[in-house]
Amino acid sequence: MSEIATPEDNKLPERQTTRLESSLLRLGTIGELLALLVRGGKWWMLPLVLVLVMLGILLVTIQAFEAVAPFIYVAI
Amino acid sequence: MGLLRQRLLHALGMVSWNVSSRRTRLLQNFSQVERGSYYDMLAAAELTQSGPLRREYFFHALDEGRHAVLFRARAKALATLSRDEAALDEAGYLGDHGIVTESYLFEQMDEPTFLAFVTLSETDAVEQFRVYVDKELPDEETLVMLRDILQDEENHVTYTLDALKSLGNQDMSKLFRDMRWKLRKEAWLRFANVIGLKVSGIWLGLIYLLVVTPFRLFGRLSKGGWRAPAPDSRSAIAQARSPA
Amino acid sequence: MSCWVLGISALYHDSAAVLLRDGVVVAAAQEERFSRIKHDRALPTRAVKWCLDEAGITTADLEALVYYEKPLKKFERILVTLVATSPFSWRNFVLAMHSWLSDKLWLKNALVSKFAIAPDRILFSEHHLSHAASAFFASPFQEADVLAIDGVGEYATTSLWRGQQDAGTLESIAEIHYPHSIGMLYSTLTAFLGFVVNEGEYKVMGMSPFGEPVYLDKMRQLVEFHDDGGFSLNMKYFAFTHHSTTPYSPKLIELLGEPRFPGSDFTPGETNSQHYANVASSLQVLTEELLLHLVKHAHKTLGGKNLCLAGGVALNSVANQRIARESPYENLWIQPAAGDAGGALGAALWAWRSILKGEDRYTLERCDLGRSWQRDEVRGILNDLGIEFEDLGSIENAVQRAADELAAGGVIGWFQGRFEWGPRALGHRSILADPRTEEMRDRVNARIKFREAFRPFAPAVLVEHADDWFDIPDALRPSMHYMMATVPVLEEKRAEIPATTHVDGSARAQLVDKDKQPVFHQLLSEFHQRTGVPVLLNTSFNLRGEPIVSGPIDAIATLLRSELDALYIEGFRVVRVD
Repeated sequence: MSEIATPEDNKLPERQTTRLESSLLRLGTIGELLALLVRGGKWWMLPLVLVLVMLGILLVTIQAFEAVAPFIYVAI
Repeated sequence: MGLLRQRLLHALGMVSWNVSSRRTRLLQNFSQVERGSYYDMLAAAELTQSGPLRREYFFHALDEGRHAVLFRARAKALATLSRDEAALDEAGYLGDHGIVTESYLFEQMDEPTFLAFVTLSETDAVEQFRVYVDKELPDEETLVMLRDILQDEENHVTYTLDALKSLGNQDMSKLFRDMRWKLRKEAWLRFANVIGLKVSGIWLGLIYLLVVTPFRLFGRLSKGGWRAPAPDSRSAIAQARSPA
Repeated sequence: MSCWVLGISALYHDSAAVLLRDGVVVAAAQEERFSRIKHDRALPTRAVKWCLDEAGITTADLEALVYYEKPLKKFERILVTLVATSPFSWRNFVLAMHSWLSDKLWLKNALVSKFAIAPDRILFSEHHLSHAASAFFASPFQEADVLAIDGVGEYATTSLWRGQQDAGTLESIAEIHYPHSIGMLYSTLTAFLGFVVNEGEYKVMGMSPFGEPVYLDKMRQLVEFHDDGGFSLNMKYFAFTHHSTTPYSPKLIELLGEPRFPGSDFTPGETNSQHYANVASSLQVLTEELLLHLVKHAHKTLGGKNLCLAGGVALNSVANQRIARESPYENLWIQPAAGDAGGALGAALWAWRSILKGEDRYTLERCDLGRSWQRDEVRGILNDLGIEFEDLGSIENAVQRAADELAAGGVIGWFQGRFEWGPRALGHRSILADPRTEEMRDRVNARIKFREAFRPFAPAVLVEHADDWFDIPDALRPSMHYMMATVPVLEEKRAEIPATTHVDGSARAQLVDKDKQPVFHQLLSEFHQRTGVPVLLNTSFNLRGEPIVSGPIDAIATLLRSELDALYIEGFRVVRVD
């Protein structure tokens, strides 16, 4: 039987972003979003977007702790 | 398998097969699972570097594809779907079949692990179907179909187990332990996802009430007709770099 | 040193990846071909990997990775819409936000990690700009007026541009905003007719010739034509802005009657079916009127000789014929992958020409931009699978043999070369058959493609004989190489190719050119020699609910799961053995 295939053969090499890099990218995204709203004069959307973005950060952070997610969710 | 599990499957099965809506959902679920296996096995056939296994995976995939079609047809025959349900069913079938996956099983693990995983999932399926068949839970026509499918699944267990053994040098019991653990972890993650959806649904509902509806008067759908594009004072490269 | 640019589309419909080397396409493919999930919208990791492997590079070699739209702008529009339609939109809100907040909002993170690319190499085009670029920067025109028309991008549903090759620019002239959208109009009625949105629109087009536009006056109530050349939808008939599953409102049901039950039988002539066919026909005519209205305005405003079209609505092959015949433009060019997959191409071309100031121009001349398999690879797979096959020795031999089989009434799978870019099969991953009998159409529908019986098949014809069989306006010719328009079959020829002539005498013909598709041209010629008919029935090589086959494994699986007589694959012939 020929060599055993490994998962690495078939996928793109992923780039391990550091926690810092990943957070900076997210902050950058939030900044762009807020700048967009301000550019378009949609000031009334700021409260809504800020709340949603906070929830988004929370969801994404929980995702990072997959296995204990249910406990976190219930605690919230 | 444990007597407890057998009894549980029997009890649940009696409900599933006798309540029309649950029966439909059960058959649709089976169809979806088989469909998912079809994709996984076809990907394995494509990616494996073993000639003999390529053949096994390929025909395994065709079996799963056939099963998916059978289950779906049976579900449709036995149920009367509402308009929305029928629309959803068509959409699922003609689209992603409810399967959204970034990588197939074969892309995530090496071959022995993959074989162990398949052996275990097929074994689970065999056990489940065997209870249904032995206790004669479904109607006659479905029973005939299930017997046929069961035969295929048993063959799948046989060849994957044989393949694993012939790969040699594998600590089979460890492999199976790892796989059982992985399957349990996945079931847990699925459960976590369901909870997560419900909880975030509640939070989002709350946000909707408190932060969306009060601003109703500010939000307006655009009027139709031609309009000039909005001016953007940023440089071309700044615009190009920005996701906004 | 080559300049590599990778364009991608994802997350909504039809993910795709397109790789340019110095402005020329070296690889292009939709993710669905690799993942085998129809309309796959996940990030195209497999397609990207193949593109890079094909070129022998890694993402580190990319000058830029270009995403085809502005995700945050789209997010803004979705939020504004949800607020504007509250409190009815709460369900949509929960669904949408869940997807956005945990996933789509953080696209840049995902791109950086999944594609191992530096953040400052990522560019974001705009949705309609990507469509417009996919049409203009791939066209043969020095300058052109460009219309992009689809469901919706960020805000724009319809946009008008002026393209200049010398400057490498696409200037935005005007746009129409959501929810006023021809794509949404068509999709809403598609759902009303019991089909799946973003999937069933072709079926609506196929159904419309069975009916008459008797409801046109009623349909016209759904829209308002503006004097300034624009339009708006009458939103009281539509619910797609806030309803997640039913895009039409109760008022539409009042107007047109009960919606068609999904999957119900369609029997031409039967009362109920006739009613729905009339709805489809009326919708089609209304859509054509809207498009002509826009095209006339474009010409009035910009006055060019050339028109480029892109966006999902440009896939309406019936409307494209009317535009070619009735618009004031001399020349027409339509992007074959007019939908969102084409956005990947447009994004890449825009970045190359407008941002990187690349001077080399590109014209899309062939559609075989996907992955191919070598004879040895195919032989290896066939041997592994233990399936009986014949080695015909060469493609030329295969062509001879296939022509014989086709002339004798066989239905074959034809797999040759690189697979096609865009939604149509054009002779590289096709199911081919003899078009000379009606039985053939029924047979292919029922036993091979397992489709609804009313759906027509398309003909492929030798370009040098095309005018003997079809009535082709000159402006439409370039687009017909990619099957982008329907034309009338000449009356005296309709009885000769009934399998590919629709009930109203039309056909979505593909012109096959010797230079661009030598093998397929050869096959058609051989068939012509044997039968006197230079036309073949050409339908996509796939089963219902699956994307077009890409490699040998899918092709053989499709052969074994259907009643195809044989599969011809890179000079091998495979048959089913039960």
